[in-house]
Amino acid sequence: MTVWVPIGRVTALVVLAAGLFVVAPAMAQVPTRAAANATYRIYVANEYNADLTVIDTATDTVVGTIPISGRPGVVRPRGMAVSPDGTIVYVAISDFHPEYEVPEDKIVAIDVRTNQVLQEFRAGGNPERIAISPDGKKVWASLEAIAQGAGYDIATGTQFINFRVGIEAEGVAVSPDGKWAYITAEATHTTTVFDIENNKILKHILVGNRPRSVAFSVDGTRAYVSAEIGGTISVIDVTKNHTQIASINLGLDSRPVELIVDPSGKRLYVAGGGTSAIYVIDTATNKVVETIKEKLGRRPWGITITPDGKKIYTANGLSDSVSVIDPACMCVVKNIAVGRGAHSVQVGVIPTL
Amino acid sequence: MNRVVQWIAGASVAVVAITSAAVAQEILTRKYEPYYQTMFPISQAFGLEMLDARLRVVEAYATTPMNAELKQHVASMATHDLGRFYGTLQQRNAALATELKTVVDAVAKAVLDGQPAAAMATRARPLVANAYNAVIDPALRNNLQFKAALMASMLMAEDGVSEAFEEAVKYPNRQQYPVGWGAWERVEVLWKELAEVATPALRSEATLFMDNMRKFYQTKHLPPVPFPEEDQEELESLTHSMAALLESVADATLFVGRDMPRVTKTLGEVVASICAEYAAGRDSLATERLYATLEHFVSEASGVAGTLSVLAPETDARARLLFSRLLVTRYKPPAGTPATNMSAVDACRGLVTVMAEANKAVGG
Repeated sequence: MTVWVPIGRVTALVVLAAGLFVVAPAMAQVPTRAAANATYRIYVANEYNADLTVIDTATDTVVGTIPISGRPGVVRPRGMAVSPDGTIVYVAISDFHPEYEVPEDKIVAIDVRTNQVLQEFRAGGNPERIAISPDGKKVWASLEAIAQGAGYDIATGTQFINFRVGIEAEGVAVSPDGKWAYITAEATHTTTVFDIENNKILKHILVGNRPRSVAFSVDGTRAYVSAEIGGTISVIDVTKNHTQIASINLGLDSRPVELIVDPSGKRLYVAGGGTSAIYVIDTATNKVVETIKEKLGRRPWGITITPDGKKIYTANGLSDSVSVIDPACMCVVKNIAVGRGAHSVQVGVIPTL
Repeated sequence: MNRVVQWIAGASVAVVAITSAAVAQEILTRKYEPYYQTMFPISQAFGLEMLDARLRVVEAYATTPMNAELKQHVASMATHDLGRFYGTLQQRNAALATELKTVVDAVAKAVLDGQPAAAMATRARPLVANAYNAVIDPALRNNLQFKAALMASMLMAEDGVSEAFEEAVKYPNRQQYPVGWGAWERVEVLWKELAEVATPALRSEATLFMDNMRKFYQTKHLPPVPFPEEDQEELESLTHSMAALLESVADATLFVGRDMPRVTKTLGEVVASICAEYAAGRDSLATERLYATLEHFVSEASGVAGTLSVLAPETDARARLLFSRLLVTRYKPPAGTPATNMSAVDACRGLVTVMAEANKAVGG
């Protein structure tokens, strides 16, 4: 079924997906508690197409496209996050002129069951990446051009706080207990720890060179920060005053960007954007156990994993594709053509009764 | 990036942050370290390259009027560019130094006054070439690691390929574009030379990067509005990728910011030696060395200044004040900040303290 749904000033073509809703609370970013027989949808933000591609994981085929703006190449969807139950995908949208706030600088919420836009709200800056609180009530964003982090109340669609972080803010993650928001900053090589309960910055941590992305371990005791130029992953002990305790060496040519912890917590998957590789790290030993390169698309940037842990998806910016990886064989099993400039990828869940 | 750094420094910081340096950061290195081994010659060569680039902009605009912003950018050749090597040129060929300074000052003045300057620029360029030969040892100029470092600077430093385009696109400062174009022209030449020693795989990858970067610099004059390619972040990413590739080609560390404690410690030692030059009255030599120091302090390849703006904003503010006391630079305090009247020697000694504080802030 095809309908037109208004998104701001433009009209969006939406391909509806049928499904019913079951609450399945889980940690942010990857809905880890998968409902039995749930259907997964992969959402890909195509930065230069100004749209999202929707993929059905059962067949790994494209089932729809959601236009975000009628100004491709000007307005760009980038970072995405998913609600704890997996049913809502949030998209950070901005343009190439961060010095001016425009109506397209916003965060859009899309219902996975219908692919309809549920809500959109003003970002107050150009958001690059976002994360959702574990209770599903707040969105946290990095506002790249103005070196700020920001929090938004989903119920009211308003920004309730903003705060200084490092320059060229990028990666965002919220700890599984909801206490901390981490925001990385490329140009200052820092990660800012924001105390959510007390609404204040706790500290800034110097991490590896050009930090891009951050992810928490499933138990919330560790945070992993990728350093694109450093070629390392900084391991931060959340329980010890957010102190860096280790550095995982991926090599100078590794160019790590986005990273994701698998639902079991045993593996950390890191996209090597500049080298078109995926690095698989054993979280118990902090050692690289596998490097996946064969058949992988070019410049994998975004990476996600299904809640059942059976498939990994990468958004490949230079080949305009998504690679599907089977963690069992640590191999690419399929490449799917998507829109121009695939940037981020997230998995939505359509629960089934 | 610099405008954001300035913006942050200028704003009142409402939060008190506890800072923390990396305690377990593994630093990956390569065999050669040109920015440490030949820090001053790289800065001198960059100044010579950018001077020639700005002169080429003047030639390109022989019949096209420049607006006030472009005039300022071009005229900065007499400070930013000449200042990077003038002291050494004076030592090695005083007559050439005087002749070059005279003509560069004249070009800058003519540009600012809106007078014809292209013919003078054309006359100046052979002098720049002669200065290049006088200042940079020919063997060093052909050294693989030196050339890679110079190209990385042309890609990432202030007024280079990425930063100039960022200024042009992200801010109402379109006139910065032609300066970036001047840098881009030289990057093309340098890469042709470096490509000869690159492996086929690296050459192939670099060709892709160069092709993609070329889209941003399609014309020597200002492109139409909007720019054909507006995604400055993409260009920045490409320049970083290219610099990372140059690290492989030359087996040389070009991103010195991987090791912040070492950079800041080294800069502290360098500044201490510069203070001795100021104390001895060798201001031109001190100036060119301080430009090299500043480059390592603020560049994308090091990121020290940006990091300080987060971890130790007071130190960053003092660094801005002291550097701008000694050099003509865009790394300066926010507008309205009272200028310091301290002597050059005292300002320099203040920078030694700044570097020590910076070293401490980054875990040194």
